[in-house]
Amino acid sequence: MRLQEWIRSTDRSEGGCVDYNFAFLDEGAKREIRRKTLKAVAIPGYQVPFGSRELPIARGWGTGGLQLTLSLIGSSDVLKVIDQGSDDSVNAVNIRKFIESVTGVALTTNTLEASLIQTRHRIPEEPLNEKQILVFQVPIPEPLRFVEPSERETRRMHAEADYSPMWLYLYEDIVRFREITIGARYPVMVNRRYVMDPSPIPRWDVPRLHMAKALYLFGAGREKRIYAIPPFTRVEPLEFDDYRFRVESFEGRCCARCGARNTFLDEVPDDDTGGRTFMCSDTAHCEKRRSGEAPSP
Amino acid sequence: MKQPLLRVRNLSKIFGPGCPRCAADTGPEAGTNICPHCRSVVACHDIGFDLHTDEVLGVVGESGSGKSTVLRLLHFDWEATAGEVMLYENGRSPDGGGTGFDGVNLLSLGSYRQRMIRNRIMGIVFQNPHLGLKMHISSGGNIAERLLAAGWRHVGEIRRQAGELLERTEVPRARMDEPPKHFSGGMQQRVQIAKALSNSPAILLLDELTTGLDVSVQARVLDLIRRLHREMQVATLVVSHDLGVVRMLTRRTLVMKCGRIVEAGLTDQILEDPRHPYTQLMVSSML
Amino acid sequence: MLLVKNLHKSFTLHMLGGKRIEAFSDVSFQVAPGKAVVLSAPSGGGKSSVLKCIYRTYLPDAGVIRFQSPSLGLVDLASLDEHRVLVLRRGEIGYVTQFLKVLPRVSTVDVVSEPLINAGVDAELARRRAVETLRRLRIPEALFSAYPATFSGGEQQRVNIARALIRRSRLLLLDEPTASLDAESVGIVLDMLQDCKEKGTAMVAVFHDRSVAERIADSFYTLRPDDGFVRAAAP
Repeated sequence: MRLQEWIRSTDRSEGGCVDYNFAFLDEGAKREIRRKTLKAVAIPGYQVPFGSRELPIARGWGTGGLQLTLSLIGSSDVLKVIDQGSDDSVNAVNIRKFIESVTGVALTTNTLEASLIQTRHRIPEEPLNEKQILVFQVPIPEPLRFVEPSERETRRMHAEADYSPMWLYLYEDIVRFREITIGARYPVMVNRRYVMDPSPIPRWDVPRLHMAKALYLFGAGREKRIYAIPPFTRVEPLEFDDYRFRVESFEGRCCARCGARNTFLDEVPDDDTGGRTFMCSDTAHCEKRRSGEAPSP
Repeated sequence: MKQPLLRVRNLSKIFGPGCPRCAADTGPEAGTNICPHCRSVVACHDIGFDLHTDEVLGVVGESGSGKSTVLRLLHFDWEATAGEVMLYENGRSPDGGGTGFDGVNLLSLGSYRQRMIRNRIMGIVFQNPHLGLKMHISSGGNIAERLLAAGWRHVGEIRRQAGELLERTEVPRARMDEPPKHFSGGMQQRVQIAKALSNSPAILLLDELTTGLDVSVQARVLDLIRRLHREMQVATLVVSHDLGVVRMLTRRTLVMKCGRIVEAGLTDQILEDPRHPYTQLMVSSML
Repeated sequence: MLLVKNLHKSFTLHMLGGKRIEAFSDVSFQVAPGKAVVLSAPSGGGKSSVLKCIYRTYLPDAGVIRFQSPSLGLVDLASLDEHRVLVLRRGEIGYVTQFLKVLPRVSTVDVVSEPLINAGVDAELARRRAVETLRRLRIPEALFSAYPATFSGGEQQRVNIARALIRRSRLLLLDEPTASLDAESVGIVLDMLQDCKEKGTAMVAVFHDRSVAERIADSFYTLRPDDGFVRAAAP
C-alpha cells in the first residue's frame, strides 16, 4: 500500500484511531523546530543545530526544508513548491503531494498567492511580500566548508568572525583567474556579522536576499542546521572594492517561450537543431507572461 | 616616562589537572617542570615583565624552559591558567593604530576580541614556517590573509602592499604569486616576517626564527630584523635558545629555566655579569 | 653630577663551587659637570669594573651611584630599572670600551651614526655627522663603508671613540680610550675630549698611560691596593 493510500484509508475526521499527526511531524518535533527557527531568526545568518527527524524521503532530498515547512504550516496556508524554479519537476511534485496528503492545505503555482513557498535553489522572479515565507532546501549549510574541513574549526571561526580564510579564497581566485569563479552558493555577509551560505541559488538571486520583505528560512536536514534571514536584513555578497560581485549576464538573450529579457534563464539543448535555447527558470512566472497575466519586458 | 606597551604579571600555564603543590614542587630548584604529585606540566609560572614600545626584549632558555609558552600565551594561542597581560596604548586611539582596550587585561577578553586585537596589533613568526604560512597558497596570498583580516578590501592595494613588504624582506617581488613550498627555508622565514609585519603591528613576536637555518642565512635574517626594527619601531619579543641571537637583537633579556624567569637584566649584563648558576652555565657554554 | 659611594662588587662563580672573587670594595668619589676623574690603581681589573658598574654592565653588590639626569631626575644607577638605564644610555651616558664590540656586517658610518639615530636624529643628518667625526679622527675615507671588524686595533679604537663622541653625553665613561693609538691620534682624541668637557660633560676615565691621563684629569681617585687587586676570597 502506498503511503498516500494508507493515509487516505485512515479516517482522521473522527479522531482517535491510529493516525499521522497533522503535517506528519509530532507536536514535540514541531515545537523543537519552531524554537530553533525562532533562535535562527533572532541571530540572522547563524546556523542553529536541530534534531533532524526521519521523514519518508531520504536525507539530502529536501528534508531540511520539508521539516521547516511541516513545522510552520497551518491548515489555512497556501503552499507552493519549486525545484530550480520549476513547479513540475519530480522533486517538487513529490514534496508537494506529500505535504498535501498530510495537511490537506491548498496548493498553488502562483508565487503571489502562496503564503508558504518551499524552494530548491531558486528565489521566484516575482517579489515576495511581508506575509510570505520562503523555505530553502540546503545541501551544505557551512559556507566556510570551501576553506576549512573541520566543523570544530568553522564554528570557532564563526564565533570569532574569523573570515580571513574565506576572503583569501576569493583573493586567490582573483589572482588565478582574474575574477571570482564561484557560481552558485555565493557566500554572503548577513547583518554584518555572519558569513552565510545562501544555498545553491544562482548569483542572480543573491541581491534579492538583501532587505527583502519576506522571511527566508534555510533548512539542512542531513547536516541538521536551521538558519534564517529575517525581513529587512542586510545581506551583502563578499566582494572587493575593485572586483565587485556580479550576477550572471544574459546579454543579448531572451526566453524562447515568453521572450523575457530580465529573468534568470536556463540553457536548454535543442535536440532537433543541435543548438541551444534559453528559457525562464521560473516556469510559473514564464507561464503567467505567456498568458498575459504578468507584464511583458 | 611612558607606560610600557604590555605589562605581564603572574602569568602561568599548567597543562594537566594541576594541584595546590604544582608551583612549589616544580621550577629550577626542583630541576623539573613536571609536578611530582599530579604529573601536570607547569609550562610557565609567575612570569612577569614589561614590554616597552620600540624595544627588543629577549627571552632565552633551553627547550622546555617555557619561553615559547609565554609567547603563545601573549598571542592568545593558548589560554593562560592565571595571570594578566595589561595593554597600555599611551593615547593611541582606535583610529591611530590602537585597539580601544587601553588599560585592559587582555586575558580577560573573549576570543572574538582577542582575535581582533591580534589582527590589529600583533605579528608572529614561528620557528616552523608551516605554522605561520599556508604552504600551498601564494606568498602574496599569505600576506593578503593578514591584510584581509585587518579589513583590507581592495585587491590592487593588497597586492601593492604585499609586493612592497616582500621587497623589504628581500624576497623578489616577481615570486609573489608562487607558493612558499617552492622556497628555501630562509626565504620562507622572510615571507613569514613580511606577513607578520603586514598590518604594521605594535608588537612583533619572534619564536626561534633562525633555528634550523644555515649560519649564513641566519645572519641575513637577523640583519633583516635589526633593519626592520630600526625602520618600523615595533616592540619585539625575541624567543631563542641562542644567546648569540639575543646578543645581536636585544638590549634586555629574560632568562628562563623550568618554567620560571631565573634572571632578568640588560643583555650586556646578562652576558658579562650573569648571576644565576644556570645563566653562568649558559654564558660559559657559548661558542 | 655623579656621586659614587661605598660601591662594592664581587663575582660568585657557581661553576667553581660558588667561589667568590672580589672586584673592588668601598669605592667612593664624585664628578662635577665638565670635570674628569681618572681612576688609578697599581694593577688589575678593578678600575674597569667600576666603569662597568656605573654603566650597569655589572650589577654592584652594595653602594650607590647617584646620577643627576635632566630627563629622569636624581637616580641611583646601582638600582635603577633596566628600561630607564637604557634611556640614559641612549641619551646621557656614553661609554668607550677598550675594544670595539660592534655587530658584524655593519659599515663604519652606520656604526658611528647609530647612537644619533637611536636618539631620534634624522638618518641622513646622522650619517653626515658620522662622516665629519670620522674625518676629524683621521679615519681613511676608504674605510667609511667597510666593516670595522676587519680594521687594525688603532682604527677600531678610533671608530669606537667616534661612536661615543658623535653625540653629546652628560657623562662619559672612558676605559683606556687611547691604549692602541699613536701620539698624533692621542692628541686628537684628547682635544675632542677637552671640547666635551668645555660643553659640560663629566668624565670617569681609566688610562694606562699616566702622562696621557694627566693631560685630561682634573683629579685622580686611587683604588686602594688591597681592594684594587683582583683577589680570591674563601667561599
